[in-house]
Amino acid sequence: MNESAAKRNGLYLWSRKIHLYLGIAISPFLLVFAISTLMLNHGVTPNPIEESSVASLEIEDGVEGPALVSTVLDQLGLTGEVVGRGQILDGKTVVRVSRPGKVTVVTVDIAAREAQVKDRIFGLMDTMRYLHLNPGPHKSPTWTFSKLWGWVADSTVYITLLLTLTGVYMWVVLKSERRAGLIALGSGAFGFAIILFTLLAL
Amino acid sequence: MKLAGSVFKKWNKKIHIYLGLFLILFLWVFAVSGLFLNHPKWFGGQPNRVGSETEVTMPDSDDQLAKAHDLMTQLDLSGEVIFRGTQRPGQFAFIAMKPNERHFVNVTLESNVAKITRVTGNIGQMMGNLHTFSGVRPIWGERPSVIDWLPTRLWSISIDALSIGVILLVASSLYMGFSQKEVRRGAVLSLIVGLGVCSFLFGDSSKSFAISVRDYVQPFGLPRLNKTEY
Repeated sequence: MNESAAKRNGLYLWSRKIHLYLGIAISPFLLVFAISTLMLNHGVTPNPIEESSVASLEIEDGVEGPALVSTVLDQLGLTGEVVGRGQILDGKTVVRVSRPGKVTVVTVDIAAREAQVKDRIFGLMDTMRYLHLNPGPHKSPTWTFSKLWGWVADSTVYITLLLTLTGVYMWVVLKSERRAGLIALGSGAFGFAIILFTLLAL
Repeated sequence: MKLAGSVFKKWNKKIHIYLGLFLILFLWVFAVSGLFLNHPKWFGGQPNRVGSETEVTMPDSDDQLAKAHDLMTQLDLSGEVIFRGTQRPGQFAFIAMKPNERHFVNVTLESNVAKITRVTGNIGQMMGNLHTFSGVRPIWGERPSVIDWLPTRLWSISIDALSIGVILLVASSLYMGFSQKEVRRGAVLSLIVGLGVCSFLFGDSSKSFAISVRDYVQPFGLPRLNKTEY
């Protein structure tokens, strides 16, 4: 089959559509991962703004554990990935609530029925960094958003792999680009093999 | 003008193809290892640990990194040196780290005996290490991080190249999508869907965006709020 005939066949046309439209659809996510990778690779640390406030709470006597945590979060209207079991130490319990762009640390003084609320508000770049690192290997997300982001991150990987396959298929069909493409593929593979060898075998 | 446009269009497509092919193996490694990191149970299991002891000559140098390199030569080890936090009194400890193996070295200064624990993992753990090898070193408790091994430096450069390459691939694909009339509508729709999902996931970080803008304009005289180190 010559190149123009191959370009008219169904598989090529579908590959092209999938490659173009899915690629553009996931482009915001690819940018999130690419930009945050540069930040992580160069040790750029988050630089949040901190805001503090104090809030009064209504806490029934004897409430402890998860019930205490949900009472506090409900009254303060906080949602997110929660760290804190509601254990009371020295009359206080600490709950940390994380969400993209914001981490809130609530220190509850049980006797005073009072919460000190510290918000750390992150910029867009730090939010990308947060999304890049989550859910990650050490966290089991409990908040719906975190679970959703985990699925989106996984989907980005699956779609990226599909895009590379459709891309390679289309390149194979394009005879005019075969030689230069082979050089690009070969030099990339050579560089990859050399670096991997030095990393693993030296 | 029209000619310049068509030349740009042609080279934009070529660069998209060549860059994609050049980076494909790097992209696969980081994509798949990212997936593995999100699903640690897929490759569960404890890493293998083998311990040994040997006598070493403790170098005189005041430079911790030079000391570690000297000891690694004596012990025939290679890899990136990682220090976890501060040294305990009477001991000198570091990790010689490679993506496929880690050597935990702990020298008792009084006896000059080095305890070495070699830790190796499965393919999933190795991929995870490749993903995080040079960029996220604070996870090892090391501050500040200094890259001291050439392969790590090369890997770090590859990570930068991949990130910049992906940004260029995205830019070139957007140009291709919007410059062709017959696919423009679909391309716009795809981008709207992608941006819509992305902005939903960013949640209330519209405030974050405001902060970024505020940070950007701060040098021009706007007051800076209370900023803290994370």
